[in-house]
Amino acid sequence: MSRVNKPVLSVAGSERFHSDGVRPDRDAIWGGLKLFGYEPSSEIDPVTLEVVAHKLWQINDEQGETLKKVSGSPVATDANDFNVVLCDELGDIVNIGPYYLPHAANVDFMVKWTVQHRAENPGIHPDDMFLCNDPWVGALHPQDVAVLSPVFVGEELFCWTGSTIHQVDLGGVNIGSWCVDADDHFSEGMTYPSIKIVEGGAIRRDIEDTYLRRSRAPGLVGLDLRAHIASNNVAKQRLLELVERYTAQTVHAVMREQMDYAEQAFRDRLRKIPDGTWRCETYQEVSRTGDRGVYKTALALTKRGDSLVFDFTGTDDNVGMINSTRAGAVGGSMVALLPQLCFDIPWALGGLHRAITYETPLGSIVNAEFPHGVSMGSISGTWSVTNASNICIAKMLSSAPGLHDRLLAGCVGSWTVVILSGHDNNNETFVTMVMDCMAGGWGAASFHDGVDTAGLMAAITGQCPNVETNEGLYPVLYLYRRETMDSGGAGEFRGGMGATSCWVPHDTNGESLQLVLATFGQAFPTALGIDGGYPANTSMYTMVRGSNAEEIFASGRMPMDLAELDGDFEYLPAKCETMEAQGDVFEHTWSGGGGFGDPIDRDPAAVLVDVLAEAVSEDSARVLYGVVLTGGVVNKTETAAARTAIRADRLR
Amino acid sequence: MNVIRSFDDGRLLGDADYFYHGTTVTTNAMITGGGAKVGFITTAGHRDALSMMRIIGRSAGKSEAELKQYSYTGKPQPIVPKALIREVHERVDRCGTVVVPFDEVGARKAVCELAEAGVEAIAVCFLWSFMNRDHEQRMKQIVLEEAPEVHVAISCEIMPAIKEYERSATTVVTAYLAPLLTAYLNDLASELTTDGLAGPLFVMQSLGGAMGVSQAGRRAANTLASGPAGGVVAATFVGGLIAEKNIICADVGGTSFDVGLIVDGDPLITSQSIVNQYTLLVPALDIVSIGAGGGSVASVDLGRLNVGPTSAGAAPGPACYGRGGTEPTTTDADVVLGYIDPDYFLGGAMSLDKDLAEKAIHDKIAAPLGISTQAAAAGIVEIANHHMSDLMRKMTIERGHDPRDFVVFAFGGAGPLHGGALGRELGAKEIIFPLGNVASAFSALGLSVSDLTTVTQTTRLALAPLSAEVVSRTFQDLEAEALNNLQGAGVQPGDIQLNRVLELRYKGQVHQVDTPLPPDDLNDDILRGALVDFERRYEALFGPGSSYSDAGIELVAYRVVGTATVERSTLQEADLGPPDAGSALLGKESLYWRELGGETETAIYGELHPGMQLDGPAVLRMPSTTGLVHPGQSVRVDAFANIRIRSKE
Repeated sequence: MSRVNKPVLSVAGSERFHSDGVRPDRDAIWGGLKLFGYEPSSEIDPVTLEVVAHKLWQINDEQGETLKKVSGSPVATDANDFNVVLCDELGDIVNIGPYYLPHAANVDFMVKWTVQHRAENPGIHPDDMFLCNDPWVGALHPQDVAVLSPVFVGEELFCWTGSTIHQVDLGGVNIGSWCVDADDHFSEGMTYPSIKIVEGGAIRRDIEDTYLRRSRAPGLVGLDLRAHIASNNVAKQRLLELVERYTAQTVHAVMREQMDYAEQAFRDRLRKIPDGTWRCETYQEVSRTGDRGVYKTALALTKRGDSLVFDFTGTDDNVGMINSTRAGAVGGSMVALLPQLCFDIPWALGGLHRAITYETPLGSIVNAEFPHGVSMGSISGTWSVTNASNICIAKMLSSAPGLHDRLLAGCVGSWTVVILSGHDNNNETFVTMVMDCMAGGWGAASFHDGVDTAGLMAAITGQCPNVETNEGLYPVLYLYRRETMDSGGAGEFRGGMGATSCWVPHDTNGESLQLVLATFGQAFPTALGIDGGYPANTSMYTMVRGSNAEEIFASGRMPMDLAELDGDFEYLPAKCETMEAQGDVFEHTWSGGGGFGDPIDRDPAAVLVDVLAEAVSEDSARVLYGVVLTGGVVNKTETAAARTAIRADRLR
Repeated sequence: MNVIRSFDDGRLLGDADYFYHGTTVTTNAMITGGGAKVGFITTAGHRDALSMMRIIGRSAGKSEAELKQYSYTGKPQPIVPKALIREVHERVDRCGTVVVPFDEVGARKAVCELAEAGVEAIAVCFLWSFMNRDHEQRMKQIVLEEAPEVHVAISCEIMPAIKEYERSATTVVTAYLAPLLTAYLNDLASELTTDGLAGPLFVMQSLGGAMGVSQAGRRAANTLASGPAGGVVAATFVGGLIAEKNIICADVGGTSFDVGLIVDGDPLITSQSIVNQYTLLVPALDIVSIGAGGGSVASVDLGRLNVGPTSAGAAPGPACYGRGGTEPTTTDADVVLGYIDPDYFLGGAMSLDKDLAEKAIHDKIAAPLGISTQAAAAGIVEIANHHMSDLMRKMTIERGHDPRDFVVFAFGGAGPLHGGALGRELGAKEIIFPLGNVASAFSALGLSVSDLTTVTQTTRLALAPLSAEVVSRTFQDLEAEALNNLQGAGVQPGDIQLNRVLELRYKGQVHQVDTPLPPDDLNDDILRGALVDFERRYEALFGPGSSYSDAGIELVAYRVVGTATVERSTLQEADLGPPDAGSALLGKESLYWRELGGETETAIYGELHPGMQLDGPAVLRMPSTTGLVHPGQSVRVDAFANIRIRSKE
């Protein structure tokens, strides 16, 4: 039997680590932990409510800024691959930061588990902090590390604040901890199921060493740990100042009101949408190195009255390293839900969740059983859930007249991991996650084209690095980086373009560079269209081994396309580890966004503009849009004929 | 011009030593699309840096509330359509080494095509051109040969700094604005000369300082958004007069609230500015803005009272303007509470309708919440004040400072109305309505007290230890350029001060820290000292434990800031009169104060004079400004007529 299909042995007792995200019973006794005794009836005047709510929001903001300052890493500071969160005493989310959304949307799972499993031993005390990256407890995957701070008022647990940052490496069989070669979770980055990293205000050195010892980049990971602690301390201190000024009862009442208000506003909105069920099936290919399988994520979104059900029944069984846990599925749904349905409602997830039910079959790729591989969780199971939720919600809004303007066709169908490592010409080691694919395309809206190279749906803001910045840090030379023609899904409104990067090693110490690659959406597009719109492009990794790039440089030309190169072309699978030697040219292409509406309804003049801007090829203009160009202008007669032919062809 | 001529038959110009000009020509051109038709030439393979905008072009300058509306976010209209971009085969690497030689034939063809397409200006940005300028300079030569009538801007002359997107955008915007701005300034200069001006013409920059006209083409983008800079420059000047070195500047206007910071007597500057969602490498005063002010609209939704971010703007404006607006705003609340005299708004230039303000607040806020109109109005003001003070706190803390170590300068149309509450909320040492009655027009003073400023810089990536010889040589080049810029504006070398700054960071980290170097001859000891200084500054800015010495320290860029102080107007100190403010008392009214939970008799004062003192609560209804003194605050007027407010102990 090949390694690819090696069975994963179940581990007795591991169920204890499965957090379900359900709010624990307040009356349960955990090791004498006292919860804040709030007065449910406490009235607050509307002005104080608004003032304190704004200050709670600002505490989160200040926490995020502090985290970025101390970390200083390109991952946290430029790409915003982190988030901060405020939860009540039992983990319900009051506020999340405007950064990478899934990093906050699942912290409630961790807090709920921590309250139940750490109160008795080792105890939860003021000035403690807990580190957690266990996907079953609530992380997206082991690289996403959360540090949680309980906040006490007197002896009572008042609330929690926390932060999550993606770490560049926490061990495991492949560099960057994207473990494409893992048989199961035991070959992945080390997981810590909520361990007390800070005790009585001081870092536990033994725990810190245990944590850093498992990383290939302990300096960076250690610095980010300090960023976690500093930012949580700022938030905690500011929360206690707020409590001192406005009283604990008032601040707690505002937190509850934020969640109640979000719930009520959300339910009001749902009532304005017709009842119904909307479905989407989307796929991931290649579950690990060597596999050639294709795996389904199925979603049926049902809206009835003022509540929603996300039902993933029918999703394929967990396999390889492409699975998420239940926390990842919930976080992935929120990525699509928040911007399309809660664009003006506070992102107090604790309130929103009361109107939502999630059916995530245990043992599926959206709710993996321990110890199935999860190292790609954040961008595999979770991302496919986002893709399916994106489409189901967009379909739902398409039938809701007042909200039609809020839908987006499929945004950025996948993340295209490129972990690059090696040595520069000073023999300095580097490991990095290349962040170029932040520049994904967004799906079209119902009234305008999708934004080209817009960012991620999962991150309100973000940046991709400059080519000069990457070349300054890592020993590569870019041949090109450009928006990818025909990558935006065709439609009456076109999807936004994704882009392509291409480089060759330059100024290394002579050794090959090492690449770990992990994506999906190569076999078929995963940013789907809406209302007749077409999907976006597929992603792609290509290596041209032993190319003649240097000779072409010397001849006075920069190759503008792989077709200009000689060499051995290798189209790399969606999960693999590979080397890039001197002269090897590596190109990767990532996803654009889906289109909205029928492409043959698109204004031919807009198609012409796209062709002139090289957003759409002349071939696609003719084949997909039925627009024929002659001598750089729209040929009206032939266009009308082409569109008639397309219609006739569809009816055949 | 006619205004100036009307003064004294033109003698005003004849007597002037110089003429300061703050222009909105470039800002307007960015908004209306009135700049030149620009072509862009870049390195083969990198055409799309300008349209990709590093994706931040979708979010730059937008608020969180705006960004959450995904389907309504997007990138700005391109300044250069892709059809007017040409790629030239050439390539330089990070060390400045030529990898692909410059394609002369392709370059000429590109220029001819763009000229054929009718461009008025060509911007050029090649990768790593700040490390090796040859290809860009060759390109410029070719443009001059093939299309001499076309304006040309090359990135290594505009802003030789790493980051190709931002450098390209800066070069393109410069090319877009330069023809317009230079033509405008040349016309203005010749008119002024004809009318008798003997001294030079200076143009205000977003950096706060001014520049000579000869610089304006190359630095056209530096004139963008120079408006908000005036208030901070004026505050720096007045702060100097009264020995206040740490100042939070709060400029409260009708639709925008701008916060700037002065630390140790110098305004904070930032190396990039955001204009129309483009990130430009243009040094500017570090000013943060939100859409808040008198026009912020209040609303009730599901029992929640919200203020902003929607603004009623100037049309229809607040309900009390009587221009058809029915949504209650902060200004309406100030009118309802009696803080603003409806018959004396903007010094009587406009009269307001208190009934409309009351109706809007009653119908839209008080009735749905079941509270009195007065309490609703006070609530609106309180929420607006907290939004503003929260931003001031954020701005100060994020830059590594504690607001309690600062005084607050409150100016702009609504500054003195809200400043007292803002400063109290921050725990600031003192709240100052600068120059008293003219606080509403305080920004205008900034123009006349500006230095001439020039910034020259270049990126040079290098790992520490640094070579004293290389560092000296690089600074000498930048200093020569800075001297040249300032002398071109007609300044004597003796009046020029040059400051050296190294931009350093930990290798692989993002944050750069400005580290000053002495003007002396450099040696290894001084450079080692600068590295120690960097680490100290890093921890001060980013917090304890944030430094990362193991990574090594990397030099990113060199910068020289040249300033020349020109002879400027001064403010006269008045003799302090008696403390009794009785002569300024206009009367007493029973007004509502939220902190007291009800009405209390409140003194209303007119124009105050140096030396006067009084206690709150009070309303200062000066000829062109209205200010509030809250209960528990006391006021003294200093010799420059600054109104200075402290909490009573």
